Amino acid sequence: MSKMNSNTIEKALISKDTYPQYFPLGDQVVIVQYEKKVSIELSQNLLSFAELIKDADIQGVTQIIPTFCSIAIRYNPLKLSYDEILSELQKLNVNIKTEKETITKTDKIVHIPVFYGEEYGPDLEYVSEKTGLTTSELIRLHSSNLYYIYMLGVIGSFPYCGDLDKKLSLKRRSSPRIKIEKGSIVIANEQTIIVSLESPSGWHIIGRTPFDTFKPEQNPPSPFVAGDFIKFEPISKEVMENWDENMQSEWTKRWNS
Amino acid sequence: MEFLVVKKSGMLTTIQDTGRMSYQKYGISSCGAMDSLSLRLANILVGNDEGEAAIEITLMGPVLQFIQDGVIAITGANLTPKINGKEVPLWRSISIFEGDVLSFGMAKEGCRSYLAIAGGINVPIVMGSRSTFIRGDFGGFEGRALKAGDAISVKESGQHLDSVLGRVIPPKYTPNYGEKRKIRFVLGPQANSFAAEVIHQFSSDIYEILSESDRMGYRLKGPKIPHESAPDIISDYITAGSIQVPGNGQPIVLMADCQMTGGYTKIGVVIGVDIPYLAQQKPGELIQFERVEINEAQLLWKKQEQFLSTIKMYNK
Repeated sequence: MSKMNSNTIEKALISKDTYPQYFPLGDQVVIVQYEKKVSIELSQNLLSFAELIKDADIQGVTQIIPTFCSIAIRYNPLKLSYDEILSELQKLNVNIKTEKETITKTDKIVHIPVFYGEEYGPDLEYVSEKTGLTTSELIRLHSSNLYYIYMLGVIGSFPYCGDLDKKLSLKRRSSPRIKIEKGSIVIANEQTIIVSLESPSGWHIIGRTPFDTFKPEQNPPSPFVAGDFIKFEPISKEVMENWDENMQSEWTKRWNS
Repeated sequence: MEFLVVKKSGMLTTIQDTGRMSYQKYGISSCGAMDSLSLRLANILVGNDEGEAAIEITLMGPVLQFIQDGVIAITGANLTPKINGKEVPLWRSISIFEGDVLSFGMAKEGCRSYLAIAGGINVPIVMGSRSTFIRGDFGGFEGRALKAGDAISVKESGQHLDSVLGRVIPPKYTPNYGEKRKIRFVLGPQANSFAAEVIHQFSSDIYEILSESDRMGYRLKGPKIPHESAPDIISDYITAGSIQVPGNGQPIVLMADCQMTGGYTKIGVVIGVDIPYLAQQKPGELIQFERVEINEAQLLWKKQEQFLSTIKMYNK
């Protein structure tokens, strides 16, 4: 590595195993990398730091984007260089350590109605077969947990929830589907996602929500952000199929406001 | 005010501006012009704000008929633009009149042209941008590529059209997309997943742009890039220019319509000033990468922005 004479790699090596580490992602983004694991505590620490960066209002910072175990910060290189943003972030990180910043928790729970199985959850039977659980046990397990949202991603505010009950954990399908419907509730490994926009996916579809979790014309476009929680609420097929704007706003009033 | 009607759609004709960058934290793809430099220059030539929406035209251009008089500019790839059958120059403002027909011929150089219209294209702003995102079915004109029969409106220009006529980017300042040169990158956040020799090798090997390349990403074919550790990572942020290396060792350079999160190691990221050049390379063409340091990348970006300021100053 030393042969490469790279500031970037050397910097990373010096701080090996101490987190966060900093890396450029091109000339307009810096990545604040935390330990590479999926954990709510780590995510909440990361979100606190993201909050601190936001409050610091560093001139030239345009976007702060949290993911599972890193924060991406977009900035304008005309206003501050990579070295400058690095030193700003390091200063803030020292502060967070000395001040023992309390973790900011939103405690916000977004309730999502789901109809499990049949044509809306074509993989429910398969998952039942593979896990040895009955479909009603599956539904009970999936809908009893409170899921923490680690990040919003892909192309349209897909909430990435971890901490799926290990009994439900399955590898992805060997051949991904070319297209799955908007609103599909999918699982793979120890994660569950709401597919907010029609897209290809190799995950197992266990149900669908009629609740529109992504409205491009609204600001913000989705009812949740990273750090919020999701609770799935089983609904009947009748409710699923008769869902409309009224029910959407009734549901929002009753559960999510 | 309806300004033009699409007579033939062309290969992929979409409305794009500089993208919806400010919504990335909500998990939204940024979209926007593949060659944002050409888009910005086209807007300056017609007296618009540089970030206004214009029409991105890909390889085989559309046929468009104007139903108003106005001023346009075409920049980016030279796809042999013609007005009423007569070839017109790129990189300058052009008067057009009601009834004129704009068509395109052979792709002489580059891959994507930008057609800016004085006033700027008038489609609704969705999440801070007028860019089309076909995968998401939103933005631009009804969330889709333009097709025959579509009527496109423009906003009222804040300028006297006479005052923007004669604007031109002198040839020595126009981007040269035909030139063969290396595409520069800085090391990516997972460069540590690759041996130093592998990164060195990556910069001397030649890669072909595969035909599966599109606005989401450029798939490349060439010598396999071996990983030292696993090719998969816990999904994190990705952005246009990111060079992902999945398990098969064949790199993918992400482009404007890419997802905003992804789970593959990133060996490097194409620098900001070279993304437009890459976006103008066509499937089948061969490319080579060259590693630069972050401070050099940022210096080059500053130079580009200074150049744009100068151009704007001369065209006020």
